[in-house]
Amino acid sequence: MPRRAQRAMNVESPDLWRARLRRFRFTHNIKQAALAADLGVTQAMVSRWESGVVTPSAEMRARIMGLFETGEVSAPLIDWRSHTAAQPGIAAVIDRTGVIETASAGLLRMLGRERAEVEGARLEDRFSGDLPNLFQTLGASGFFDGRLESVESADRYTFVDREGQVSSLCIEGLHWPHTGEDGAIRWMLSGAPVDEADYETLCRELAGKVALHPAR
Amino acid sequence: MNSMTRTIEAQAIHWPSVIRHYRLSKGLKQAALAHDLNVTQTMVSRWESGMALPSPRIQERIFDLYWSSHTSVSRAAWMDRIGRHPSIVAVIDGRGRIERASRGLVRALDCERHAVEGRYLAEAFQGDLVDLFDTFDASGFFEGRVASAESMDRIEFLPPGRGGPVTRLVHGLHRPTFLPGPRIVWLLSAAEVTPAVFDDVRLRLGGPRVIRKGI
Repeated sequence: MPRRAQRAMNVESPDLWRARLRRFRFTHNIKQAALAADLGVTQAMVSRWESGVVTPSAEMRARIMGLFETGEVSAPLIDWRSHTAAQPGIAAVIDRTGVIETASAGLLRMLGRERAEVEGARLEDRFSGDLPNLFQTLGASGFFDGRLESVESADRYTFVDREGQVSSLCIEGLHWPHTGEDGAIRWMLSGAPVDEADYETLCRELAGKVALHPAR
Repeated sequence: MNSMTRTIEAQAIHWPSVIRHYRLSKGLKQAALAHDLNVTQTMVSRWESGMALPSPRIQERIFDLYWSSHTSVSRAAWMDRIGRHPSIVAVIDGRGRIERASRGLVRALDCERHAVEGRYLAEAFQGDLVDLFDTFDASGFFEGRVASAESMDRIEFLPPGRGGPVTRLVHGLHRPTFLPGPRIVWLLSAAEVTPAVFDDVRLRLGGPRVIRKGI
């Protein structure tokens, strides 16, 4: 039904509700009985509304619209970048020049900083020590040219929080290249804090601080 | 238990949701998607209204489109990477079976890989995580009706052959993943949080979880 015609229709018109209910059921693939249960009425009542014999009461109209609102809210597909941004753990998207394009919710929580303070900043502006070194290692190994499949690492993240307090955390990391829609390779960083004992074990397993896995 | 009886039910993909959700998320007109899939716009319209079912080949193509919006590697490489992931990540199928557990999950639960991988959620866990699965199942998560979800969960892990539950507070992010079959699995990622963060985020979410439906 054209939007204009719909708007011109009286909200008390049975035809309007007939169309709305049927379309809702159709797009959501639910039976009259299920809709009736959601609205707290009998299936016979839904059937009467949908046949256009009866107009829902004002109270019921409000309830139907409420259901439409919650049921029809559409969240967009969560793509690789929005998924990284929402990550509760440590994750980031870093470009080949070392700029943090996207920081995860978990990374921001760890740093005690707002998104705007981290995204767009260079890695070495926010971290000192192992993480900038890792970036250099990745660059020198052809990570951004597609020569690596993944990288495992053990890093001490050293950073200054907003109060000027220096923190240092042991992080187990896994990193892989992601080819974005523009064809450019980005660094997908992920990590999790580990205690000193696990950190030592990890360093032994890696025989150092980093293990590079070449692309096949 | 409910989740055990469910294991015999096949979950059908709800193609109208899956196709519309992809198309509208990408801001495509029916004609543009039709062009990409080499079909007519009428056909896309019929799929979206539920009047026709896409062919198996098209179903696969649509799942590939979803796949490439999430990751740029093959599904096998992705599965392998999840096993090596340092933070809490798991792949759970529509029957509640934990297909893959990350290094981080194994470490967080202080167990061996086989104590969690291959087990069913309802048997390996109790509390919030089992409720989360039941809620997803009821919301049509495995049919493709959910876009994403966020949760604050008190995980209670039941190690096989050992006593009381191992309890952890975690902040979770969840999204469907589109595998060949075609079937939809649950990609769970999470991080442990302090009780203060747990309470704070629950307040923001207005409860233990928020489920964002597709279309």
